[in-house]
Amino acid sequence: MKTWMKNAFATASLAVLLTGCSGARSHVIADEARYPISLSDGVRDADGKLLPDERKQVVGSFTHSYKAWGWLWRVFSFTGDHDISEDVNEQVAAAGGDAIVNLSVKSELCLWNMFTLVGLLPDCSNVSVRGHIIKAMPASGAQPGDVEASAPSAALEQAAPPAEALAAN
Amino acid sequence: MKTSKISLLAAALLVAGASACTLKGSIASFPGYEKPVLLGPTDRIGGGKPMMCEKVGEFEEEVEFEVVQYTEDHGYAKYSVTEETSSSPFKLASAARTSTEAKSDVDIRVTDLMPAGYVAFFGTKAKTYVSVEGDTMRVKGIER
Repeated sequence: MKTWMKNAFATASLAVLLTGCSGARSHVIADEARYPISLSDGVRDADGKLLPDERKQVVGSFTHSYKAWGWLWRVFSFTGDHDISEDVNEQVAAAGGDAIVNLSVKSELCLWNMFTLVGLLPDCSNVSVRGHIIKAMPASGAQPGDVEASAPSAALEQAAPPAEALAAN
Repeated sequence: MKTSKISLLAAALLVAGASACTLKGSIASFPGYEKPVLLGPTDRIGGGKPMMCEKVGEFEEEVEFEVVQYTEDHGYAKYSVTEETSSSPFKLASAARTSTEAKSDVDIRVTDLMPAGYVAFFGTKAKTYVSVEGDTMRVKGIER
């Protein structure tokens, strides 16, 4: 290793050591999710209109937790992108739901912070993802067991405007 | 003597680190906000072909929780002070309302959702945060 590289590494290490910094970051993604995931109360029905509160029935809770690892404060993220799609698809399907609303993401430091005070060791943070799994109830007049009225895909085909028509607007 | 000082320093650092680890977390959520803030490609119940949208702006906000510990020396006494600062739980929802002007045909599509945390100065400062970045998109063909 060249002398200047050794010096640079030593300087960077000393700086981290003196400030006692450590940390971790990650990025939550859901690129393969088959269901809508909303961080708010709002979600759109199959026809694109906002689903009214009275038609939302909470049928379960979505939970997902993981540890994010990083190094040198947050400069290097070992975790990088963390995909929750698989859990979303499994848990929503298991609950018989149509979407996740009120998704929340909580970031906490972890116990390992105690042992990486020198800053040179990898560090972690705990991430908890929570949400409500909801089912879209049929519009007034129809019963929950009414397959035609409650099937989102059927409603989508009937009510959703064609893409060409939307593009023309 | 030297060893005992090092032990004391190590103990102090461990206490500081431990206190940082008991930190409450920061939570990103949009309570009470009625328009979609979407993560992922599926934009409506049932999925299918994505709705036609037009980007009308950008959204960027973060929630944080921070703890700073320090000592105040008043001569006759020393005080250990812990200051906690946290974002309002409604910060993101409020920012979203402003960003979308609360229009019913404007959604937020999240492009980056980043939870993070760090400790600094040997645990005397600790912070967790979640940043949310996204695009505000007008959904075409929807009644306002």
